[in-house]
Amino acid sequence: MRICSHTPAQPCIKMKTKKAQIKMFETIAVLLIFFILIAFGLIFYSKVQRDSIQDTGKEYFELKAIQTAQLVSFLPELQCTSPTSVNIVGDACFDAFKIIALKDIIEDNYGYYFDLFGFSKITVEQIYPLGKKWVIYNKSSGKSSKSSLQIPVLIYNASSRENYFGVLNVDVYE
Amino acid sequence: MLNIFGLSILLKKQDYKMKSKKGVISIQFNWIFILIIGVLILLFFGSFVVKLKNNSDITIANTIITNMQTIMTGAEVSTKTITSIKIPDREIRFSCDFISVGDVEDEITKNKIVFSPESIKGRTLLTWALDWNTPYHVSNFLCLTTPSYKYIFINSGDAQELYNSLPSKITKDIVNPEGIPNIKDTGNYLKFVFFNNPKPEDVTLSSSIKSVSDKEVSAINVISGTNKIEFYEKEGAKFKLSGTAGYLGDPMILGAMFSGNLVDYKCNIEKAFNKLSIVSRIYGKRTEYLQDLYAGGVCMPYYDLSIFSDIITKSKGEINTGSIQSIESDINNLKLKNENLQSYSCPTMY
Repeated sequence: MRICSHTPAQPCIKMKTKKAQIKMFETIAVLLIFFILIAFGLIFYSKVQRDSIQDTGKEYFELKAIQTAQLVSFLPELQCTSPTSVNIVGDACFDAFKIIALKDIIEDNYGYYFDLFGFSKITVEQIYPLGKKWVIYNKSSGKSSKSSLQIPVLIYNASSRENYFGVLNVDVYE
Repeated sequence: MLNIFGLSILLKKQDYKMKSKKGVISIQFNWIFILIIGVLILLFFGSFVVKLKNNSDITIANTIITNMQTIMTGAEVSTKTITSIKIPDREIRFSCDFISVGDVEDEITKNKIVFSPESIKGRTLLTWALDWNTPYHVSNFLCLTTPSYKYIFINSGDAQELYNSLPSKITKDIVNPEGIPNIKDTGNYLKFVFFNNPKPEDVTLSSSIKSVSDKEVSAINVISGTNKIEFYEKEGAKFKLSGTAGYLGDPMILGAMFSGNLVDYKCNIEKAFNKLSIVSRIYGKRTEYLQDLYAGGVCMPYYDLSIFSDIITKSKGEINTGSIQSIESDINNLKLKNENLQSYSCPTMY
């Protein structure tokens, strides 16, 4: 102030302008840092969110695979009725004739079964005595990642009235 | 010098005025600057919070729907069991093909037959799975309700039997026809179930029920001999017929009881009959294989493929009481043939 009062007006205005400019730069710099920090925060948050979405996606995929396996193992089109009491559905028991029949039915009603199983491969394999392998449904998504589930089942042959051990394989593609 | 001095004094005065003006502008500019930046920052954070809230709502809705789908798949396979599930206090809307929470919607696949009120609110969801056999197992029906829905059976015909089949967790009551005017409003959604009532339109509800919103009270009338169910809506103290549909077996009567409206019920029974046609095709093919294996034997005449083709044709066509009655007679025929196969120790058709 003192310098300003003893000097001509021109340099004084110049100095004031300089001071104001410095102040302006200071404010802009503070704002810049503030926005940079916010940007960092947002980048970090979006990365965390993306990871969490990916995890949830994986979780849903596993859930979908379990649901598909559950759906197949309780499918009335495959389940065998008890030979003694016809209305009692055998748990984890597939009728051999129904397995053969379902292959053709699926081909004729592909849309219906695609709604149920989506991109998956469903096979039933006779393990003991070693026997046939039936591919009931096969629709690949072209992706390599898949979730595989194996469920032990009984395969009932209605003509010989014999039961065989088998495995239901359910591969669900992402 | 004086002049110069005078000029200098003048300049100083002007300088002071200029400085004071500049100061005022500078202060005002600072405030305007702070205001603009402040508003921008507030807007930024405000929109961020709103977006976060929307995202969180969508995430919650998605989680509820995914869990509901899992619950439906799980409940569907464990028949004849009632499960009480704690759910978030959000409105879940059901129709025959869709389930929605807020703006988030998901499809109910064609194989899932879910009989439910249009809207489910509250913290407890009751799921009850019923197996539908015609006479072979075709599908499982999933019935959804909450304790806030009360099912009132009007005691006549098969009412007592059906009332007893309902699990105790479901809010239910059975009253004699004379007792209807004494039924009071308990704050529940009410569903009246009549059996062979010649004219439910003549039933007069109590003044307490009359004052309840028409949407909260409805009725069905089961006409056993003709496989017909009449759907009624409340209009003041009376019931008004909204339409009719067919049924095949007790699970479908219960399905109609749990259904929110006639449209959803009809859509669900169409799904059920579509499934019947598919499963019948499987049994038809299976019978064909058995026929080939036992050709010329004692079992051969009892392997009747025409019954299955009849069921397939009828269940694929328009579903009405006539077609259902015809399917029912095919079923009885099939039962007889299967019993004959059993008596001759032949592999059965189903």
